[in-house]
Amino acid sequence: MAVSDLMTRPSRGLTVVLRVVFVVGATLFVLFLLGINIFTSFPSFWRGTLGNPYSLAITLTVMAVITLTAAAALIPFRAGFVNLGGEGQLVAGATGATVVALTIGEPGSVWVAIVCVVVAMVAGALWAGIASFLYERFGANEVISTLMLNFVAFTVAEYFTSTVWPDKVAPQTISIPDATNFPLFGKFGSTPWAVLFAVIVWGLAWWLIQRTNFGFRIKATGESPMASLRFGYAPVRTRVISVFLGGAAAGLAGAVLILVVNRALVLDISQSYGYVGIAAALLIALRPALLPLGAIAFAMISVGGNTLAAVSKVSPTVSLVAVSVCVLLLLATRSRRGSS
Amino acid sequence: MTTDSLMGRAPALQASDVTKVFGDLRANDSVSLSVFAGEVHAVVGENGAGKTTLMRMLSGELQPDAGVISLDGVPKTLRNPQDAVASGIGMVHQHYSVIPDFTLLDNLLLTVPGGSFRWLTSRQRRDALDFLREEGFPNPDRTLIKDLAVDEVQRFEISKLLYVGAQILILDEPTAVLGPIEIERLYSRLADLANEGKSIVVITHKLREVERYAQRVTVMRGGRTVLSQDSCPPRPALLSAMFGDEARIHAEEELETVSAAAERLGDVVLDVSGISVIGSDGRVRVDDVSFTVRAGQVLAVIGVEGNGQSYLMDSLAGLQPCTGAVTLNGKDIAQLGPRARYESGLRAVTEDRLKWDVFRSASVSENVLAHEYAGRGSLGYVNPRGKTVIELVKDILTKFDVRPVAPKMALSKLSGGNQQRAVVGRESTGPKSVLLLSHPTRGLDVMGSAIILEDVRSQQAQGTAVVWNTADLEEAFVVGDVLLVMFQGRAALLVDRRSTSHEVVAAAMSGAN
Repeated sequence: MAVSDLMTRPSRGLTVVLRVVFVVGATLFVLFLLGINIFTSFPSFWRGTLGNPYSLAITLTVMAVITLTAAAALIPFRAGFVNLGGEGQLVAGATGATVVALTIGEPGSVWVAIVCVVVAMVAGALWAGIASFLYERFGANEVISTLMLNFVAFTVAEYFTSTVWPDKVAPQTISIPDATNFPLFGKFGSTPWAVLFAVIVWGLAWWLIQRTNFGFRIKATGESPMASLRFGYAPVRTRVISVFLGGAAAGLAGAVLILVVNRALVLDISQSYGYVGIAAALLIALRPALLPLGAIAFAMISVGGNTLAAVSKVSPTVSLVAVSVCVLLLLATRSRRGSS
Repeated sequence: MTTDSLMGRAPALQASDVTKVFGDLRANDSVSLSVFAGEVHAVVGENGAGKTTLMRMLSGELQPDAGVISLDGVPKTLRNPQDAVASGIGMVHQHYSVIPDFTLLDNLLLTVPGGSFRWLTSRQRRDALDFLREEGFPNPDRTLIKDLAVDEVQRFEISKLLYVGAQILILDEPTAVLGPIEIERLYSRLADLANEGKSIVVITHKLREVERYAQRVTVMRGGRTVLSQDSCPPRPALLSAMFGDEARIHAEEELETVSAAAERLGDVVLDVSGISVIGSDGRVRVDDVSFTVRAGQVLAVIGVEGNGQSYLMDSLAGLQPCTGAVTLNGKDIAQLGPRARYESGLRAVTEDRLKWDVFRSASVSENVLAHEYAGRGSLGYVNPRGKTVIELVKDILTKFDVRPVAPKMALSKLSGGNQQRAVVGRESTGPKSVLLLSHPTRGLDVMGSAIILEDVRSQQAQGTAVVWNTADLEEAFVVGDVLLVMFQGRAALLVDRRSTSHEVVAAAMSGAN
């Protein structure tokens, strides 16, 4: 009952904060064991994450992306649908955005960027919708189907990077037109737009789940579909809509990566952000109000981990190890209250 | 003169000054209990009196914070249920610990000690088979638990304990799901076991059973033993020992004795005609049942567990598809879902609270307001923390004596009995034509039952038609104007309460006519 436990029994705010502190601390310890001197390299960790405008911009962008993928896990999870497909939905969104940007082509404009965002959200939602349909229509286990669809999404993306618009050197598509972008903010570039999207989704997710009748139906459906049926909460419709909303959030994350970060569909564009989002959502015990907290924790681990690896001359894989350690610690420190 | 001196030997099972504290709650506060070989010992008390905590300590599930448990005069530490079993203590829980899809034999062999990797010899198997046959189960290696009637499963649970050598049997609310004939049968079995020298402890709410079958009675209140004596005290003394609240007792006694006063019968509100229900396994669960209920009338549906009453009640609430006609105030509702029936004026307390009635992690307030979250704008919000809402919820909780009155608390923190009161409170509040109550008093003490009964009387006065499903014959006679006896899915008897007797109804419940 591990996952459903997490879905239905969010623990208290303070406990969550303590867990964040513990998980970050323990992860630093693991990094120490991996040969990174966390004390002497703290200054470079600081510079590499928040300490200068350039790295701050990177950390904030990653944080925004993780906020979006965490929302992609959180909303369906609360409705009882274990969406492990944030990764694939993100790639679907990124692919959708790229297709729009490259199809409309030069010269490009802000309006094209807006269409990219909308199409990416629709693509993410539809990609999630496949698993949702399989679940509602045939009872296919969503854990398996969302996970498997991630691989399918990668293959579809690969079709575009290798066949439709291949770049001459790297495994990616050609770049999207420069003008297809949001207005830039000096040395922060378009990062503020990424942050803005994340803040909007954060606010909407919180408002929807905690302050609307529909939000209560989402939580009720997650806890007891039978009782939800009895009270007339239309659990199937509620769950399907939640999955679509989650997929749209992941798709938006894909659009952010295309427009703000990569400017092209890169084969490993997702950087595991879809999976990290799940970890972030679990870290904050599925409480939408805390989304940025979970996102900043993982953004700092993944961005800072890379910096530390560079400074200490160990493999950059350590940041992935760090994230994995975090996930294990999260599951291990999960509150057991009321599990009977 | 006490039993101790009569028998001149140590009690088979004795708890001396046992204390158990959970957080701020002293669930057991210096509790003492002596159970002798050869007696049926009833432990009674209101909800939350500490009976279950005491039994869980005696069966090794909990360890006392202070005090001693002795067996035959020798102090003994029961570290876990296995220890208790090895010491000859066996417990039958309210929820049976059997695997429905396994045969009786396999269920029995599961209890043989020796760990997960023990090797069962063919001889052990044969012995077990013989044992079960002697216990009166004809084909133990072919019969599945799920094919047994509920009282048979209980009988099997007792046999299981005897098989592993239990000398002291503890039964928690054993008669909650049984009909009168089965109750009689159970107690005669328990009396036989006592005569063989075993000790029987029965936890119960039903005072009639205590008076009738127990040789010794212990009353608990507020985590203490307030009374322990050889013979059952007269009813008033028993009640004041249990509740210590004379005023409420008189009210409750009146309610029990005065019949459903002042009937003001109106028009037919609920008309059920020839409904049948097929279970998910393809078996006919309800077979062509018809009845009507008038405004202000209470129809008591009664039967031994597993005779179709649950399916009947669920199908009336719209939770179970059925064939036939169900008319509410002249409107056909047979094909409507539960929410549409709610909107037509039907309210229901279902039998399976955790499945249909509550969201455990939601707050008490959200649970009381559960109907309000449907059928309104998705983006609107019924704020469960709003001032007027809280006041409303508090009124309901107070009226049904839900403790504590804490609307913002998670529902799961309430005890089962208090959750039940909150659910009944929700369904009982507001205008309605029909109120369906499935076992509304199950697990509630006499006082809790009285509150619900009182409420139903006021519902009647307002012209609500009530269908009350119970397995308790006495309760059916107290609440029902008309009794519908279910046996094997059919309406075995549909009769006015005043023109029948306990004997006739009890016979119908066992299919005797």
